[in-house]
This record gives sequence, structure tokens and C-alpha cells, in this order.
Amino acid sequence: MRNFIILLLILLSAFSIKSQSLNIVGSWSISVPSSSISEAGNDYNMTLMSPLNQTLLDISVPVTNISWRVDIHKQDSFWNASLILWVHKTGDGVGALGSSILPIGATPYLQVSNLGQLFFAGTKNYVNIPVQYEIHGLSVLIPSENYNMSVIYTLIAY
Amino acid sequence: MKYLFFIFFCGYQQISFSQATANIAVSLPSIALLDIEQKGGMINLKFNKPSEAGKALQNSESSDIIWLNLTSALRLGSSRHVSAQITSGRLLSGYGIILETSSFTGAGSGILGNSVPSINLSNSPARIIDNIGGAFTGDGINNGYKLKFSLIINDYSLLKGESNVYAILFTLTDN
Repeated sequence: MRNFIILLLILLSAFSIKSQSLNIVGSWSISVPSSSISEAGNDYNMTLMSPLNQTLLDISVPVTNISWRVDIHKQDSFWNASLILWVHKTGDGVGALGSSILPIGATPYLQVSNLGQLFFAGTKNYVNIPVQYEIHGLSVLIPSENYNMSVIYTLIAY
Repeated sequence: MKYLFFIFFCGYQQISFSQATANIAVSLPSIALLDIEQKGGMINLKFNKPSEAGKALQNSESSDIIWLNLTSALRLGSSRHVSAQITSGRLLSGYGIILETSSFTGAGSGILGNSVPSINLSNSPARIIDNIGGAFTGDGINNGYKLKFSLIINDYSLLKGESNVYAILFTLTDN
């Protein structure tokens, strides 16, 4: 009997892990045009901004763990520290019956660092939560290269 | 112990993780922009008459102040230079044009290079600022490198009373 209970708990645990998921669609690639600076002597005077729904997040959680939070952090593949990535949720997407999300609607911009931090939280399933990116710190002092990084979203269901 | 085991599994079941990744890519272009301020001006140089017979001609300096503005964005480890040359008109024998380039002043920032204090202008390009990296000087007068022109007599016997117009080209080039 004891072994049966242990086995049952393990199966329940495994079921719980597998039954929650975070799916995203939409990476962001941007080429800064050389015409961004028209007058010799000037630096860039601009912020790079993605569309409002550049990335869409789908959140699915099991009925036993309806509360969740999404944390965010970055991993630099080849990046320049002067380029600062900001992110914000621009809407709520579509939630299941009785779901909730906080903050509601558009959130303030959050600077993405290499350490995980809370992005937003909610309950029950959601689809098409839209996310927008901004990059600050653009300057001709940064070498003219192709930079890339990964933004990692972590769904924690509890 | 049994209860601890049970609590552990309950806790394990209560929190679960899932991750997804979005890739961000930014491509920054190479930029080379060069400009002079004030724009379109004519620089007038002349030899001043001596005040007394037997004295030498006095060399004239440009009274117009010209500033060189630039913006440079380039790949890591590369550099650029600015050169100057006469592209319209050939200098007659007897005199030359000296170009003096100040060190950088102004609102800019970056790897602004090293100016060559003085060159003798000719029809061949000569470097006036070297080792420019990613940099911007600021726009307009009082930003960048101040340029001063003056005449120099090489051979009195070849001087003639005449006027000439020269075009001077400044180029920002990869090293």
C-alpha cells in the first residue's frame, strides 16, 4: 500500500509538471538603417521599438495549479552592454473563464537583466498575451556589428 | 518521516516550471558622415602689401572659421582618417596653401582621432585626422576640428599678380 501511494504521488507530480506549458511566438530582428543619422556630427537620437505584439505568450496550467507567474531574464549571446533591453506587456490576450491577470492591461516598461524578475502573474489559462520590446542606448560609439541575445520567459505554476 | 516524505511530494507537485525563449537581434550599420560648417563659404586668402619698400610680403591667414564635423560608426577594431586635397585648380609655382587642423573640441564623444597640426595642400590627398573610431563631434560651429588656411611663399621669383580659385575636398575614409 505504501509503495502504491508513493507511485501515485510520483505520477501526480509528473502529470502536474507536464500539464503546464508556456508557448511563445515571435522573435525580433531589426536592422538600423544608416540613414538614421542625416547630419554629420550627430549621434543616433532614437529608441528601437518593436511592434506592440512582437511576441505572443500562451499560458496553460493544470486545474490543480491555477495560479502562475511569468519571470523574465536574458542571456547574451553577442551583445553590447550599452544596449539596454526593455520589455512590457501591451495587453492581456484572451483568458479562460474566471481567469485573471496582474497587472491588467499594459504594464510599465521593465529593464531586462541577466537575473530573473517577475514580469506579470495570473490564474488559469491565457493565449496571445502581447509583448513589446524597446532597446535604448543606441550610439555610434557601439561597434557596427550584428548583436543577438535570448529573452527567456519562465512560467511558474503553483 | 512518512509525513515529511508526503509533504515533500506535495510541495514538489505544487510548484512547476516551464520556459520559452524569444531571440532578439540588432544589426548596427557602418556610418561615415563628414561636413564643414559654415557651409558653402568662400575662403579668401591674399598676400598683404608690405608697409615699406624692401620688406617681404605678409602671409595672409583665413579670417573665416571653418569647422569639420563628422560621425563615424564602424566595425570593432577598424579605424578611419580624414584627408584633404585640392581637386579644382593646380597650385602655381611660387606659393603654397597651408592647412592647420586643431585638436578636437566640442560636444562630441568617442574615439575622435589625432589631428595633424599642419599640412601643405596639394592635388594628392594628405591625412589631417587619423585613427578615428566610433565617434561623433557634435553638429555646427564650435564642434569638431577647427580649420585654418594660410598662404606661404616658396619662391618670390615665381610670384605673379593674379587671382586663383581652388576647391578643397575633405574625405572620411576607412584605413
